Amino acid sequence: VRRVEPAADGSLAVAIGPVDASGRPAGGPERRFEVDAVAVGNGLTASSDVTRLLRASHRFEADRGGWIPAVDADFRTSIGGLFAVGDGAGLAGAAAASVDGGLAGLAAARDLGALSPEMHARRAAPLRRASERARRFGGAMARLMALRPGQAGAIPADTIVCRCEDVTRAEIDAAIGEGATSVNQLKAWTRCGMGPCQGRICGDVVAALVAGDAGRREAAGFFTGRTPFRPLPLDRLVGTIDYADLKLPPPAPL
Amino acid sequence: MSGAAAERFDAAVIGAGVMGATTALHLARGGMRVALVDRGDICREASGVNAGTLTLHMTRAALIPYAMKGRELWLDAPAWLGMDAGARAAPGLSLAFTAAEREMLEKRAEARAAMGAPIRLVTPAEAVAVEPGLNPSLLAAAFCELDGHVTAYLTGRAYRHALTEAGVVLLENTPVVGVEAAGGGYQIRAEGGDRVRAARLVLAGGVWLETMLGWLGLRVPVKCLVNQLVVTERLQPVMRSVVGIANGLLSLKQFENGTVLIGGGWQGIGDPVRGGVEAKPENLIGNVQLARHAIPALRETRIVRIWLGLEAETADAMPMIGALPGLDEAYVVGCVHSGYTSGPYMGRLLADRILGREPEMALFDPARLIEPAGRTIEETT
Repeated sequence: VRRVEPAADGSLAVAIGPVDASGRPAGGPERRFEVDAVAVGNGLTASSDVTRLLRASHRFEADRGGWIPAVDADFRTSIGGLFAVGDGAGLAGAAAASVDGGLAGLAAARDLGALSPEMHARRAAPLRRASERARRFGGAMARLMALRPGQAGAIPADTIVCRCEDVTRAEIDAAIGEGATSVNQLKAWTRCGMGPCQGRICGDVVAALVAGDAGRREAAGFFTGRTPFRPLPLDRLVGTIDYADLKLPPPAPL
Repeated sequence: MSGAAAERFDAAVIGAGVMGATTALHLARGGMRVALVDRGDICREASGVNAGTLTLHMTRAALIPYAMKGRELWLDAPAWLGMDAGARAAPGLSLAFTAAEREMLEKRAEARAAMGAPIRLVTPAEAVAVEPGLNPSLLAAAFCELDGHVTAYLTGRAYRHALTEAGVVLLENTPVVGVEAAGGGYQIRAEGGDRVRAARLVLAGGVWLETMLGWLGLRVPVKCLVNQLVVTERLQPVMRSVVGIANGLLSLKQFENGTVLIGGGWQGIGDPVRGGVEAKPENLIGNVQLARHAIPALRETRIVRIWLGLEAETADAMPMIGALPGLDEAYVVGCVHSGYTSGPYMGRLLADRILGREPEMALFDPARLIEPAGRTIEETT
């Protein structure tokens, strides 16, 4: 999509044009449509905020949803006793998620001594084959949804990148120009990713902009995981209590 | 880094928070060639994640004169820092909801007023006139017209701009692993083998000062506070002042962008090695209950983010700012209660001392805090 503009009688005029393999706009004829509405899909990223908060090791895999926890063949993370399966551990689709959950459960049972290595191997084998099959579709979908290398760079200066905080591409570029080299520094300097979605929508694009043409996503990092992940109604957290029943720590020093 | 390695600086400052960055800035403006070294990005620890309060209601009485100077500097940042860090003046209120709190409020207001803070007791009706959002069930309040807040997360951006203009060599993401006296100066060893050499050394590492002083063979226990902060989504204006409680356990303000920040030094889990790890549910709930009690309209909002910031404290809870004993041209700055408020002033005082000028106010001799070598570590917490 190159442009969306208001058209007569409340409809929208949309111009689309060709892109190259990296997602960058390429030369060639534009086509125009008059439509009632435009729905924008921004790809798919792995929701790894829980494993990030818990400080498991993560690695960047563009074709599997970005920053995902590093897991072994049985979905053990770097933290003992913590397993990660499903799209939050790397996009593979719903079918793979349920099979992988079975594999993680078998591994946990084995780790706890409830399943012998032989029994584990026997029961895991068919699940591994099922997981492989399920991943063919899920993996293809993830690759299709991944941010392509030329897409972030092609964002116009006045486009809002962080929709929660209305931060534009130009504001992000200005902060990078002033020396922000990580997404967390960029977040502090622009409020990008500080809003209710906590950077889930903009995080991938912002990191690509920070990484720049060199594409060093590892150095740009990821937004630090912070609770409560989703906006939490304050009243639901604190309940009802009398002031006299508040448990106050000792006063600060004078 | 290779350029920095070849050069011998007039001064090297380790720790790019407000204390270290201000010291480095004024040393550079005083004519020195300065390197400012940090293991991470500039102002991304306490200086970038604190509650950004400019209150005198929570400042230790003895530090009131320093905090008043620091507050002025924050409000005047466009003039001397070259960039607005979002500092805004606002009135400040400290509240009492019980008889015991009223007694504490009166005593504390008097002690702070004696040190020069323009704090006076007001009636509940007067307090509500200042802050219509208050819970009207309060018994008493202390009022201070000199209060306000800074958007702490902008600190690094403002300082980076000023430091660059002043010619400070900023070495971010450069973890220091050791320092030794060498050739009438100091050699700083960074992870990966890089070296920074300087005639003068300033340690400004906040909760990591205990480790840093250890590099020089000095043993100074530094306690690490793990302060919890909570921020809401943007909401319509519900308050226009900075609100606290007599016991100092609440720091509440609404920024121009509509978000409300809830602090007050409630403790979470963490330490200098792991940083802030996680909030304690009972402390999270207690802090937020207190905030909602003070400003009832907060019940309508949602919490967006919870985080922890590390604050350093010495054995006597007073700062250490000055020359290190037994060493030539080595200095320390840090462990200042409400240190974000007074930081720009504290850094300037130390820079004046290093530049051979008489500091406007007294420094805080670190010698009193140094323990004899060989004492066991278990005594610190």
